[in-house]
Amino acid sequence: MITATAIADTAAAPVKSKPKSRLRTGMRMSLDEFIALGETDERLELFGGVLYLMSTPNVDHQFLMRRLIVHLESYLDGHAPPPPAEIHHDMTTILSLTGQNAVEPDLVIIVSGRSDISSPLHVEGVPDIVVEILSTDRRHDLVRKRRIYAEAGVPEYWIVDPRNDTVLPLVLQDGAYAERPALGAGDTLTTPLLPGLAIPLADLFRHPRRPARDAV
Amino acid sequence: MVLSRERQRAPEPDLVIILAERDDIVGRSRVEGAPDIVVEILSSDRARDLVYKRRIYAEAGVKEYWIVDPRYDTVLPLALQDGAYAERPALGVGDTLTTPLLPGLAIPLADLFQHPRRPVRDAE
Repeated sequence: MITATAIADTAAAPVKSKPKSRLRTGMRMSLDEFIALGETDERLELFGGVLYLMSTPNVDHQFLMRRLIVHLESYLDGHAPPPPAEIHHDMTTILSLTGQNAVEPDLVIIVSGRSDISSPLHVEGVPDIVVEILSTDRRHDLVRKRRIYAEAGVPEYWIVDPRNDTVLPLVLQDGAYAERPALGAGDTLTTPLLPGLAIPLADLFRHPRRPARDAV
Repeated sequence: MVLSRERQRAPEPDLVIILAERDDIVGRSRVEGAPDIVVEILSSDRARDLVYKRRIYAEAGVKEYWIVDPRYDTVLPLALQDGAYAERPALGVGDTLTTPLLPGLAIPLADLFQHPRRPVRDAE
Protein backbone atom coordinates (compact mmCIF):
# COMPACT_ATOMS: atom_id res chain seq x y z
CA MET A 1 0.00 0.00 0.00
CA ILE A 2 1.18 3.48 -0.73
CA THR A 3 0.49 5.68 2.25
CA ALA A 4 0.44 9.41 2.37
CA THR A 5 1.91 12.29 4.28
CA ALA A 6 0.78 14.92 1.89
CA ILE A 7 0.48 17.77 4.40
CA ALA A 8 4.13 17.28 5.12
CA ASP A 9 4.92 18.14 1.53
CA THR A 10 4.08 21.77 2.05
CA ALA A 11 4.57 22.44 5.70
CA ALA A 12 6.94 19.96 7.20
CA ALA A 13 10.54 19.17 7.61
CA PRO A 14 11.05 15.65 6.36
CA VAL A 15 12.41 13.12 8.76
CA LYS A 16 16.11 12.52 8.19
CA SER A 17 15.63 8.96 7.01
CA LYS A 18 13.03 10.06 4.47
CA PRO A 19 14.42 12.67 2.11
CA LYS A 20 11.89 14.92 0.45
CA SER A 21 10.45 13.17 -2.54
CA ARG A 22 11.22 14.26 -6.07
CA LEU A 23 8.06 12.69 -7.39
CA ARG A 24 5.71 15.05 -9.15
CA THR A 25 2.64 15.01 -11.31
CA GLY A 26 3.47 14.67 -14.99
CA MET A 27 6.66 12.62 -14.57
CA ARG A 28 6.94 9.73 -16.99
CA MET A 29 7.46 6.33 -15.45
CA SER A 30 6.96 2.70 -16.45
CA LEU A 31 4.69 0.41 -14.46
CA ASP A 32 7.76 -1.53 -13.26
CA GLU A 33 9.39 1.66 -12.00
CA PHE A 34 6.12 2.63 -10.32
CA ILE A 35 5.85 -0.73 -8.53
CA ALA A 36 9.51 -0.49 -7.50
CA LEU A 37 8.76 2.72 -5.57
CA GLY A 38 7.19 0.50 -2.90
CA GLU A 39 5.77 2.31 0.11
CA THR A 40 5.98 6.05 -0.35
CA ASP A 41 4.66 9.02 1.59
CA GLU A 42 2.55 10.20 -1.33
CA ARG A 43 -0.69 9.03 -2.82
CA LEU A 44 0.32 8.12 -6.33
CA GLU A 45 -1.36 6.90 -9.46
CA LEU A 46 -0.03 6.11 -12.92
CA PHE A 47 -2.01 6.82 -16.08
CA GLY A 48 -0.56 5.70 -19.38
CA GLY A 49 2.92 5.92 -17.91
CA VAL A 50 2.40 9.40 -16.45
CA LEU A 51 2.58 9.91 -12.68
CA TYR A 52 -0.23 11.66 -10.84
CA LEU A 53 0.06 12.88 -7.21
CA MET A 54 -3.25 13.09 -5.41
CA SER A 55 -4.20 15.54 -2.71
CA THR A 56 -4.88 14.56 0.89
CA PRO A 57 -8.61 13.99 1.37
CA ASN A 58 -10.41 16.59 3.47
CA VAL A 59 -12.33 15.82 6.65
CA ASP A 60 -15.69 15.34 4.91
CA HIS A 61 -14.14 12.93 2.41
CA GLN A 62 -12.66 10.96 5.28
CA PHE A 63 -15.94 10.96 7.16
CA LEU A 64 -17.90 9.58 4.20
CA MET A 65 -15.22 6.95 3.68
CA ARG A 66 -15.44 5.85 7.31
CA ARG A 67 -19.25 5.57 7.11
CA LEU A 68 -18.95 3.37 4.03
CA ILE A 69 -16.36 1.20 5.76
CA VAL A 70 -18.55 0.91 8.89
CA HIS A 71 -21.43 -0.41 6.76
CA LEU A 72 -19.25 -2.76 4.73
CA GLU A 73 -17.42 -4.11 7.79
CA SER A 74 -20.63 -4.73 9.67
CA TYR A 75 -22.07 -6.47 6.60
CA LEU A 76 -19.00 -8.73 6.49
CA ASP A 77 -19.07 -9.33 10.25
CA GLY A 78 -22.64 -10.54 9.85
CA HIS A 79 -21.54 -13.48 7.72
CA ALA A 80 -20.07 -16.73 8.96
CA PRO A 81 -16.66 -17.53 7.45
CA PRO A 82 -15.67 -17.58 4.69
CA PRO A 83 -16.45 -13.89 4.22
CA PRO A 84 -18.43 -12.97 1.10
CA ALA A 85 -15.92 -10.29 0.10
CA GLU A 86 -12.83 -8.39 1.13
CA ILE A 87 -12.45 -4.64 1.14
CA HIS A 88 -9.37 -2.46 0.89
CA HIS A 89 -8.94 1.26 1.15
CA ASP A 90 -6.19 3.45 -0.30
CA MET A 91 -4.58 0.38 -1.81
CA THR A 92 -2.49 0.57 -4.96
CA THR A 93 -4.42 -1.36 -7.60
CA ILE A 94 -2.72 -2.57 -10.73
CA LEU A 95 -5.55 -3.26 -13.11
CA SER A 96 -3.35 -4.81 -15.77
CA LEU A 97 0.33 -5.71 -15.85
CA THR A 98 0.47 -5.03 -19.56
CA GLY A 99 -0.99 -1.54 -19.32
CA GLN A 100 0.70 1.45 -17.75
CA ASN A 101 -2.06 2.23 -15.26
CA ALA A 102 -2.02 1.89 -11.49
CA VAL A 103 -4.70 3.51 -9.40
CA GLU A 104 -5.32 4.04 -5.70
CA PRO A 105 -9.10 3.98 -5.30
CA ASP A 106 -10.77 5.11 -2.10
CA LEU A 107 -12.25 1.62 -1.72
CA VAL A 108 -12.05 -1.61 -3.65
CA ILE A 109 -14.30 -4.58 -3.02
CA ILE A 110 -13.28 -8.06 -4.13
CA VAL A 111 -15.97 -10.68 -4.02
CA SER A 112 -15.00 -13.91 -2.37
CA GLY A 113 -13.27 -16.57 -4.37
CA ARG A 114 -11.05 -14.00 -6.03
CA SER A 115 -8.89 -13.03 -3.07
CA ASP A 116 -5.81 -14.25 -4.96
CA ILE A 117 -5.65 -10.85 -6.64
CA SER A 118 -4.72 -9.08 -3.41
CA SER A 119 -1.35 -9.17 -1.68
CA PRO A 120 -0.17 -7.32 1.45
CA LEU A 121 1.04 -4.40 -0.65
CA HIS A 122 -1.33 -4.11 -3.58
CA VAL A 123 -4.20 -5.46 -5.59
CA GLU A 124 -3.16 -6.95 -8.89
CA GLY A 125 -6.20 -7.54 -11.03
CA VAL A 126 -9.68 -6.18 -11.52
CA PRO A 127 -11.78 -5.62 -8.38
CA ASP A 128 -15.52 -6.26 -8.51
CA ILE A 129 -16.45 -2.85 -7.19
CA VAL A 130 -14.45 0.36 -7.05
CA VAL A 131 -15.65 3.30 -4.95
CA GLU A 132 -14.38 6.85 -5.41
CA ILE A 133 -15.38 9.85 -3.34
CA LEU A 134 -15.08 13.00 -5.42
CA SER A 135 -12.69 15.68 -4.20
CA THR A 136 -11.33 18.87 -5.71
CA ASP A 137 -10.26 17.34 -9.02
CA ARG A 138 -13.69 15.97 -9.92
CA ARG A 139 -12.84 15.31 -13.56
CA HIS A 140 -10.19 12.86 -12.45
CA ASP A 141 -12.81 10.44 -11.12
CA LEU A 142 -15.74 11.42 -13.33
CA VAL A 143 -13.94 11.18 -16.67
CA ARG A 144 -10.46 9.67 -16.56
CA LYS A 145 -11.07 6.92 -14.04
CA ARG A 146 -14.52 6.13 -15.39
CA ARG A 147 -12.88 5.32 -18.71
CA ILE A 148 -10.04 3.34 -17.14
CA TYR A 149 -12.34 1.26 -14.93
CA ALA A 150 -14.63 0.50 -17.88
CA GLU A 151 -11.70 -0.54 -20.06
CA ALA A 152 -10.35 -2.76 -17.29
CA GLY A 153 -13.75 -4.40 -16.86
CA VAL A 154 -14.57 -3.32 -13.29
CA PRO A 155 -18.20 -4.55 -12.97
CA GLU A 156 -19.38 -1.71 -10.69
CA TYR A 157 -18.05 1.79 -10.13
CA TRP A 158 -19.69 3.81 -7.36
CA ILE A 159 -19.07 7.55 -7.45
CA VAL A 160 -19.84 9.33 -4.18
CA ASP A 161 -20.41 13.07 -4.63
CA PRO A 162 -20.07 15.04 -1.38
CA ARG A 163 -20.98 18.30 -3.12
CA ASN A 164 -24.41 17.11 -4.29
CA ASP A 165 -24.91 14.35 -1.70
CA THR A 166 -25.41 11.66 -4.29
CA VAL A 167 -24.02 8.25 -5.17
CA LEU A 168 -23.89 7.22 -8.82
CA PRO A 169 -23.73 3.41 -8.94
CA LEU A 170 -22.47 2.62 -12.44
CA VAL A 171 -22.79 -0.92 -13.78
CA LEU A 172 -20.74 -2.22 -16.68
CA GLN A 173 -22.80 -3.30 -19.68
CA ASP A 174 -21.17 -4.30 -22.96
CA GLY A 175 -17.87 -2.70 -21.96
CA ALA A 176 -19.24 0.67 -20.90
CA TYR A 177 -20.96 2.11 -17.84
CA ALA A 178 -24.63 2.54 -18.59
CA GLU A 179 -26.10 5.84 -17.46
CA ARG A 180 -28.23 5.43 -14.36
CA PRO A 181 -29.96 7.93 -12.12
CA ALA A 182 -27.89 8.99 -9.12
CA LEU A 183 -29.10 8.00 -5.67
CA GLY A 184 -29.84 10.75 -3.17
CA ALA A 185 -29.86 11.07 0.61
CA GLY A 186 -33.26 9.39 0.81
CA ASP A 187 -32.17 6.32 -1.17
CA THR A 188 -30.53 3.06 -0.19
CA LEU A 189 -27.47 1.70 -1.97
CA THR A 190 -27.55 -2.01 -2.83
CA THR A 191 -25.75 -4.27 -5.29
CA PRO A 192 -26.46 -7.77 -6.62
CA LEU A 193 -22.77 -8.54 -5.98
CA LEU A 194 -23.26 -8.37 -2.19
CA PRO A 195 -26.73 -9.76 -1.45
CA GLY A 196 -28.18 -8.30 1.71
CA LEU A 197 -26.01 -5.20 1.78
CA ALA A 198 -28.11 -2.07 2.12
CA ILE A 199 -26.54 1.29 2.88
CA PRO A 200 -29.08 4.02 3.65
CA LEU A 201 -27.43 7.10 2.20
CA ALA A 202 -28.92 9.33 4.89
CA ASP A 203 -26.45 7.61 7.18
CA LEU A 204 -23.66 9.13 5.09
CA PHE A 205 -24.99 12.47 3.94
CA ARG A 206 -27.27 13.43 6.85
CA HIS A 207 -25.29 11.88 9.67
CA PRO A 208 -25.33 14.12 12.78
CA ARG A 209 -21.54 13.90 13.06
CA ARG A 210 -20.85 14.83 9.44
CA PRO A 211 -18.30 17.66 9.37
CA ALA A 212 -19.32 21.12 8.17
CA ARG A 213 -19.51 21.15 4.41
CA ASP A 214 -16.74 22.00 2.09
CA ALA A 215 -17.25 25.56 0.88
CA VAL A 216 -16.38 24.90 -2.75
CA MET B 1 -1.73 17.85 10.95
CA VAL B 2 0.37 20.88 11.76
CA LEU B 3 1.92 20.23 15.17
CA SER B 4 4.36 23.09 15.21
CA ARG B 5 4.85 25.80 12.61
CA GLU B 6 8.02 27.08 14.26
CA ARG B 7 9.59 23.65 14.14
CA GLN B 8 8.12 22.76 10.73
CA ARG B 9 6.47 19.65 12.00
CA ALA B 10 3.45 18.30 10.15
CA PRO B 11 3.10 14.55 10.40
CA GLU B 12 0.08 12.63 9.06
CA PRO B 13 -0.82 10.10 11.75
CA ASP B 14 -2.92 7.04 11.04
CA LEU B 15 -5.61 8.33 13.40
CA VAL B 16 -6.08 11.40 15.53
CA ILE B 17 -8.72 11.80 18.21
CA ILE B 18 -9.75 15.26 19.31
CA LEU B 19 -12.12 15.73 22.23
CA ALA B 20 -15.29 17.69 21.51
CA GLU B 21 -14.29 20.77 23.51
CA ARG B 22 -11.16 21.20 21.40
CA ASP B 23 -12.64 20.66 17.95
CA ASP B 24 -11.71 24.22 16.97
CA ILE B 25 -8.28 22.85 16.01
CA VAL B 26 -9.85 20.90 13.14
CA GLY B 27 -9.87 22.72 9.82
CA ARG B 28 -11.30 21.65 6.49
CA SER B 29 -8.28 19.67 5.46
CA ARG B 30 -5.91 19.73 8.40
CA VAL B 31 -5.56 19.77 12.14
CA GLU B 32 -3.72 22.78 13.61
CA GLY B 33 -2.47 21.89 17.04
CA ALA B 34 -1.94 18.88 19.25
CA PRO B 35 -4.71 16.24 19.19
CA ASP B 36 -5.65 14.54 22.46
CA ILE B 37 -4.77 11.08 21.17
CA VAL B 38 -2.62 10.04 18.24
CA VAL B 39 -2.61 6.48 16.94
CA GLU B 40 0.10 5.05 14.71
CA ILE B 41 0.19 1.56 13.27
CA LEU B 42 3.79 0.50 12.77
CA SER B 43 4.89 -0.25 9.23
CA SER B 44 8.22 -0.95 7.59
CA ASP B 45 9.98 2.11 9.02
CA ARG B 46 9.36 1.25 12.67
CA ALA B 47 11.92 3.66 14.10
CA ARG B 48 10.04 6.61 12.62
CA ASP B 49 7.02 5.96 14.88
CA LEU B 50 8.83 4.38 17.83
CA VAL B 51 11.54 6.99 18.24
CA TYR B 52 11.14 10.14 16.15
CA LYS B 53 7.37 10.55 16.40
CA ARG B 54 7.33 9.53 20.04
CA ARG B 55 9.60 12.48 20.71
CA ILE B 56 7.71 15.04 18.62
CA TYR B 57 4.30 14.01 20.00
CA ALA B 58 5.63 14.35 23.54
CA GLU B 59 7.10 17.77 22.76
CA ALA B 60 3.82 18.91 21.19
CA GLY B 61 1.86 17.83 24.28
CA VAL B 62 -0.20 15.00 22.75
CA LYS B 63 -1.79 13.47 25.86
CA GLU B 64 -1.87 9.88 24.65
CA TYR B 65 0.07 8.12 21.93
CA TRP B 66 -1.08 4.63 21.03
CA ILE B 67 1.37 2.52 19.09
CA VAL B 68 -0.18 -0.48 17.35
CA ASP B 69 2.37 -3.15 16.48
CA PRO B 70 1.12 -5.58 13.82
CA ARG B 71 4.31 -7.63 14.04
CA TYR B 72 3.90 -8.56 17.71
CA ASP B 73 0.14 -8.00 18.00
CA THR B 74 0.43 -5.44 20.76
CA VAL B 75 -0.74 -1.91 21.52
CA LEU B 76 1.47 0.37 23.58
CA PRO B 77 -0.76 3.06 25.13
CA LEU B 78 1.62 5.84 26.15
CA ALA B 79 0.35 8.61 28.42
CA LEU B 80 2.10 11.95 28.86
CA GLN B 81 3.45 12.60 32.34
CA ASP B 82 5.57 15.67 33.06
CA GLY B 83 6.31 16.21 29.40
CA ALA B 84 7.36 12.66 28.55
CA TYR B 85 5.69 9.36 27.82
CA ALA B 86 6.00 7.11 30.86
CA GLU B 87 6.96 3.52 30.12
CA ARG B 88 3.98 1.21 30.37
CA PRO B 89 3.50 -2.45 29.59
CA ALA B 90 2.18 -3.16 26.12
CA LEU B 91 -1.31 -4.66 25.81
CA GLY B 92 -1.72 -8.00 24.07
CA VAL B 93 -4.53 -9.80 22.25
CA GLY B 94 -6.21 -10.80 25.51
CA ASP B 95 -6.38 -7.21 26.73
CA THR B 96 -8.86 -4.39 26.26
CA LEU B 97 -7.79 -0.88 25.31
CA THR B 98 -9.39 1.91 27.34
CA THR B 99 -8.57 5.54 28.07
CA PRO B 100 -9.73 8.00 30.74
CA LEU B 101 -10.12 10.55 27.92
CA LEU B 102 -13.05 8.61 26.40
CA PRO B 103 -14.97 7.08 29.30
CA GLY B 104 -16.79 3.93 28.29
CA LEU B 105 -14.68 3.18 25.24
CA ALA B 106 -13.38 -0.38 25.39
CA ILE B 107 -11.64 -1.97 22.42
CA PRO B 108 -10.99 -5.69 22.87
CA LEU B 109 -7.71 -6.19 21.05
CA ALA B 110 -8.70 -9.70 19.98
CA ASP B 111 -11.14 -7.96 17.63
CA LEU B 112 -8.12 -6.44 15.87
CA PHE B 113 -5.40 -9.03 16.08
CA GLN B 114 -7.45 -12.23 16.07
CA HIS B 115 -10.27 -11.11 13.82
CA PRO B 116 -11.28 -13.96 11.49
CA ARG B 117 -11.05 -11.63 8.49
CA ARG B 118 -7.61 -10.24 9.31
CA PRO B 119 -5.47 -10.49 6.15
CA VAL B 120 -2.60 -12.92 5.96
CA ARG B 121 0.41 -11.41 7.69
CA ASP B 122 3.11 -9.58 5.82
CA ALA B 123 6.07 -11.93 5.44
CA GLU B 124 8.89 -9.60 6.51
